[in-house]
Amino acid sequence: MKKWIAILLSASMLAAMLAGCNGGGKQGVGGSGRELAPEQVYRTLYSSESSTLNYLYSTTEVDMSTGVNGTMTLYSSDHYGILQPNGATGYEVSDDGLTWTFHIREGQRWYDYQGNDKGPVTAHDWVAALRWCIEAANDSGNSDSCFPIKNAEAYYNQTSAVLSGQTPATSLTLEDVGVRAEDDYTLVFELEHATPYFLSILEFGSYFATSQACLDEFGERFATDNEYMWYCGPYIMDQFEPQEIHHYVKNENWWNADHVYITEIESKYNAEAGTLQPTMFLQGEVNETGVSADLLSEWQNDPEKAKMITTTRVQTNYSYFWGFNFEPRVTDTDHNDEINAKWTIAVNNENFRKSIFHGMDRKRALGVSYPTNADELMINSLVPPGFVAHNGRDYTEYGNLAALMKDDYFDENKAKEYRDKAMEEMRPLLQAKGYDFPIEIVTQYNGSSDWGQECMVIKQQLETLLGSDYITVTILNFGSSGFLAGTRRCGNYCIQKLNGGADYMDPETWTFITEPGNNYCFAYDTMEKYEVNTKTAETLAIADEFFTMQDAAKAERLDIDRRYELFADAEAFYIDHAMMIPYRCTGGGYVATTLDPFESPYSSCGWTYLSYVNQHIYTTAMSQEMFDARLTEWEKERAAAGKAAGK
Amino acid sequence: MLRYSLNRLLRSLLTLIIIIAVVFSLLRLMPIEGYFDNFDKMSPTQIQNKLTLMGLNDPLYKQLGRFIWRLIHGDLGTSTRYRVGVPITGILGKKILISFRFGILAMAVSLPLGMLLGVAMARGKGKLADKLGNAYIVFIQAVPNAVYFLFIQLYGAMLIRCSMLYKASDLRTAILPILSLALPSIAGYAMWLRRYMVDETNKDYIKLARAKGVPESVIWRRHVFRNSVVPMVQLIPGSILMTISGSIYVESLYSIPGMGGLLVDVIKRQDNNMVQALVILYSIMGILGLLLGDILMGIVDPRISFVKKEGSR
Repeated sequence: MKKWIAILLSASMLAAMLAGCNGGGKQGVGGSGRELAPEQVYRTLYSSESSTLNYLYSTTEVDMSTGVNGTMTLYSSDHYGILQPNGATGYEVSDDGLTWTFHIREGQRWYDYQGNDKGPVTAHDWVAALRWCIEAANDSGNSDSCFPIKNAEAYYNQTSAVLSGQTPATSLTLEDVGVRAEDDYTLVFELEHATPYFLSILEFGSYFATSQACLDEFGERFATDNEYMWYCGPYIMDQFEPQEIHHYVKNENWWNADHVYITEIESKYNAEAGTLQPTMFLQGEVNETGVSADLLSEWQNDPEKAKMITTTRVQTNYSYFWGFNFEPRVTDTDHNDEINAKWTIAVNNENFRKSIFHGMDRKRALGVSYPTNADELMINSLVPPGFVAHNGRDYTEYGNLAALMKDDYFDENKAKEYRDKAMEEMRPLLQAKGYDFPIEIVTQYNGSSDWGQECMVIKQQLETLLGSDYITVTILNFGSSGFLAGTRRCGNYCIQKLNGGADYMDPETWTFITEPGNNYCFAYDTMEKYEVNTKTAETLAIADEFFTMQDAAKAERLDIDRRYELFADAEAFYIDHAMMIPYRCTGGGYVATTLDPFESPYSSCGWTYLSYVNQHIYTTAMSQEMFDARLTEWEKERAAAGKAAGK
Repeated sequence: MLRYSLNRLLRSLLTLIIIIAVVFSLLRLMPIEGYFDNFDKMSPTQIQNKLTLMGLNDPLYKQLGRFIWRLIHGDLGTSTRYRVGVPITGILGKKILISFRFGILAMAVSLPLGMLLGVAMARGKGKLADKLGNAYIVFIQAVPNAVYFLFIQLYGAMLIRCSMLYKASDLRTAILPILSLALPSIAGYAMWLRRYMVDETNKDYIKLARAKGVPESVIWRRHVFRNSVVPMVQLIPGSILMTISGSIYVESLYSIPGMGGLLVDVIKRQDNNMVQALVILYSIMGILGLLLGDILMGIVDPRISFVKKEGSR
């Protein structure tokens, strides 16, 4: 049955791609009504150089483009975010959800950077990739994405013990790890336990096809240069000059080459790309540019340039929130002890947290960077709406979370009510320690002017609303160097804008932010840094109940509706107690582009969004009107595609 | 002179060893988070594995000893963060050549032009040439170079109808970065030469030469210029050698894959091996530049001697 579903999905993907290509039938015109450029060469600037091309090793965006465009995953997201067959043609899952069998696409070949044939792509290539990643000596950042595979984590720990000169607790061989090629075109994964989101993990580097012959030939130099790797994906990287140029040419022999419209990609390095790219876009030297907030008004006021700018699509791969620090260790003022002592009392008072929760005008703060589309970006949950759905029902529509999604949390009256209660409850506690109001709230930012302005808006707005006799906000510019290590991870703040990214398509992917041991807000029972626990019994009771709810959700592995409901209830409980303030998802910035962003792969995890498959270059830039029309169309199509795919 | 040079070299070697040891030790004080791209999601085992593979779990003296041993064998190691696993000599080799080529061309433009301007200003002190030269120098010194570099790039590219970015295959695209590199140096050479020459003209022996009726052209050429150029000569070897360090801003603007900004970049990325290699390289260049400058000055000015003369203190 699943095979048939896979075939139907493939057919729908191809149909959708063709529709996207022809824009409703007219030759050479895209969905946005623009004409196709005669030369389909994508030119861009980049300001941050890859430290490696090794997609098995790296976990950073700048390093992954070569892997995404040069090799193949088994399944990858299409432009609606639906996983579609790529290196595989289909798969089956056992009833217990533990065995996944993939049928590898036949007729695919490996090529070197000059296009020389290096042999067939087979199931063994995925086995080689995974085995490389779980060998501790290879120092792969992707090893943990292999751990759902049976014995992968145990094997990794075993090789880690050997690496550090200890005696390993196990004596596993690679054959004991749950990945094998039954024949050249049948790949089998055995999992530790049922993993409903396993298909979405396949978009990570450890699941990119990699020839063992290639690994053997290049050894330690594998993928340190374009010459030291082989290609089987839509593009071949024929030129790689670090801090100069990345150049790709289309791989005409790739199975889906008919849907690769951009024939060349020329990416030039420039450390000042952000400054130069807008001018170069106007001169036709690059196909895309970001338009920063300081340039925005100039472009909007110029009739010609105004037609060239548009907002970008909202992305759900990152979630931003304002974190309350439950273990304050502020070190950057001249009265740290007082700040930490007062904040410890404040953060443990739920009414105090709620006064900030309802008092913060998030929309106004977002307006600093997103003057026209703050509404679209603001979210009321940690897991962004649209991130994951089941049978057409979005995760945020499940359980108690659904009720929280309706209105903005900002409510002046509520905020003042909670303030009055908090003042009554906290004053005796503060006075007992020799302090009094106002509570000084230290927040740090990394030197970014937008972030600094955001903090300033929040300071003015909160102090005006709640009164500077209740709180004062102190904004500190920590600078960008070592920012996270010096602020969030060591608790050097009271409230701070924090964020986290998704690794796979399931609400569980965000739990690293809140689970015990996290270095975000420290809302769990620990006395690592202080002799006295900075959390009160009341706070710990909330945290413990939340952890119990979250664990129950994690344990539900087969009934997805129930799983989502449990996760949604846990998240709603956490937000309801104002343990954090959800803020925004990503995207939404301003760009000028001759591409059509709705043709590009859409995925909230993995790296497929870096792919250039299915995209065209147009003669003119996309305007906001075109974007809005395409967005409406895309949202409808995506909902239909999601329903058809059972998402 | 040989003994003097050997003595200086030995003292320089000692300085170099101290620099290496200090930099090496300071780098080990950096927070370990900087060695990871995905620190928040890594398990303690993953973190320890990387530190072990980088040799950072060994005692400091062992790490330093291993580094010096490799260095003696000409091995600078591989990059750990900037270009993972790539030999440092390979990375630096390419970049040094590019920066050196641009630097030396810029110097070839700026040195003669700067000197000509300096001579013209000194000879026409207080006249139009001097005033124009001073205006140019003040402009270059006062206006942040980022401003006129951007201006040159934007309008220069339009004027000569070439790409705003450097392309090795199109020589025209090298004109603007060379010009940008040369402009501040021209001002520097002109300013110092003018100053030395004006100082020299006020000395008694020049007044005596004039009184004796020595022709002005001879006074300027043989006496004023020759004596004024001596302190500048000392800086030339260092300037040539330091061209390999590139220019942070010009290289960034024109996408020139040279050495400019590399040290800052690798410090930010906590690529210890790269930082150590660059510190050694720049230290050697600095030390050699000073030594060669002193030697060259001795050659140009016969009054300078490297040995103690009888009766000298």
